[in-house]
Amino acid sequence: MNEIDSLTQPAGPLSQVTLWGHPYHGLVTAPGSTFTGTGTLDRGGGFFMDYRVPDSADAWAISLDGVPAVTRTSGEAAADAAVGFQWLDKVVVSGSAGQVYGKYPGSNAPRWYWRDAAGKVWCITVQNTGGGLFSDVQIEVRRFGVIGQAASVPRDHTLAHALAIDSTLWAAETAGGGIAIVPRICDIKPDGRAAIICVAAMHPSVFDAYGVATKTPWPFGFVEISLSTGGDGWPVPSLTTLRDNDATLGTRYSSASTSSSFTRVPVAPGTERYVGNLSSSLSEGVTGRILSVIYGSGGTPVDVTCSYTITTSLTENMAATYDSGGAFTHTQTHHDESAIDFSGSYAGAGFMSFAGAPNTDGVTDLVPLGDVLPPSGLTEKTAGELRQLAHSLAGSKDVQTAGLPDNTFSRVVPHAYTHRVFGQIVQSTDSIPPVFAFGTVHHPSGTTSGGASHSVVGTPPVYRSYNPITGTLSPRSAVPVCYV
Amino acid sequence: MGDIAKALQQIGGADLSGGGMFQGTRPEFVPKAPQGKKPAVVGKGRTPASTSGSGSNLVEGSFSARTYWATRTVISSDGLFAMEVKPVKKITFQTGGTLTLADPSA
Repeated sequence: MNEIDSLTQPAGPLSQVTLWGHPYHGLVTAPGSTFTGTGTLDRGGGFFMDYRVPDSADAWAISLDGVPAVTRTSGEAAADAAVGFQWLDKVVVSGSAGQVYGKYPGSNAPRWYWRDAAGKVWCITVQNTGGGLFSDVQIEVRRFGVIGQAASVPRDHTLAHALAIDSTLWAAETAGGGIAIVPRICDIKPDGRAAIICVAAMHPSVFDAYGVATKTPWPFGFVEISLSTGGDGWPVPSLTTLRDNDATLGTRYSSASTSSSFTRVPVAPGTERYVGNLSSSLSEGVTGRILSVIYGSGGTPVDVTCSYTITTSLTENMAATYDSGGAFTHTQTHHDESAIDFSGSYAGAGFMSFAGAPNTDGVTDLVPLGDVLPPSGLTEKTAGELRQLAHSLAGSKDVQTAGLPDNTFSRVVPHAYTHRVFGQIVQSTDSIPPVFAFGTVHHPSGTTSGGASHSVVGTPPVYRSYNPITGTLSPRSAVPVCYV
Repeated sequence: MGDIAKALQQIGGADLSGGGMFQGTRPEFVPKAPQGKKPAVVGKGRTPASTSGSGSNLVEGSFSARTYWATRTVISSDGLFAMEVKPVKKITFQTGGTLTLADPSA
């Protein structure tokens, strides 16, 4: 072209670029091609509108260093709203893989973005190294977002951690098959300079129809990845162990007592029969199980914990027969649970707190035991599992209390909408399908909950997401949602 | 001839002495002969003299002749994407004339 700037250029001759980028931010709703911008548009699929619903409801807003604030005149703001635009001076990272603009980044490895003092943007990826996470975390650093330049070769860093993951626990979680060990982002600093990562066990085969994991990852421990600029201008990540395996599991305790009362019943010469009761009183619980670690005020890591106690009393009617030949026959004639109780709580300093116990109205159950898992409905198998749970808790490491739902034993599962927003504490057993009951959402202080609670049995029908821009929770949805 | 007579002569008065126009003897009107259709021509702009060579002062001579201000980076509103651009400083036309643009970063 040898003429003055051609009028065929989109911006025309001698124009000035004011804003450019991606102004489509809002709630993405499954099945992935529907984007409700600021509430005024329903954008379907197509050219650069082909949104993919993130595989978790996590969303973070990162303010990149040195990026000027977006200022709009009232007229411009009105025009933005009319077409569903929302110009942000922040990057919205969504889902466990760190999507931006609702685009799949190419792998499920979680990632986030940082802009250094020189104005260079970097993509920081936590590699999915599976079993390698037992000992270290691999971080990839890649220059990102420069249009018109060839991609640079990324750099990898292997950072050893001190999570001291119990090998027995690790093996138990992975031995059953279908269990993956994954890194998950729990929180990202508002400027992208650091992020909190958990090494977690996850049930990767349990997804809903939209590809969203329905099981809460179960952390082994938490680390923080921080970034600084090295001598050659590339970011250098460093790792700090925040909560090791033992601290993450919290305090586990259990107690069991038994008593018996038998009466001798003459049967025949040489044979004796005893009948009576064997009673067991079981109590087990966890205090301070860390579910997530997030940045609190001042950037201080804050634990989000779950505590619970399960108590149960069992009575078994027994009969024993002893004959003169030395044989001893032991017969269980009846098995009954006289009581089972549960209480649990969530807590996070400066973040949220909740304590609840079961009730039976079926509507506002904070813990669904009274509704969907009534004491009278417990099977003998379930009761036996509870007993096993309690007994094993007395051991050195308690696999099942750190385990995933749907494993052999009864377990307590906190259900998370996001790593910052936790919903219901759920007890799940192998003999009863997973139960997802959604009570009052426990959310960051200063935000609103979203209304009345209810409980539902079956596949989780409720999805919510945390808007990282406004700090509010999305309305309840029957399909996955996430802010992009 | 007095001033009035001169003026009358200039506006078509044929004779001031013979009782002409002023005496009711107006001459017969003789229409002008038709001149025919004006031939077509190609219009030309008024071009001032060139200072050197030939061509137009609105057509760039060579793209490679452009000069630029220092490279600057334009970032997306969220800062995630960046483009490097070189603002044009000077354009030289075919005529040799130039257009100098201000530094946008100034």
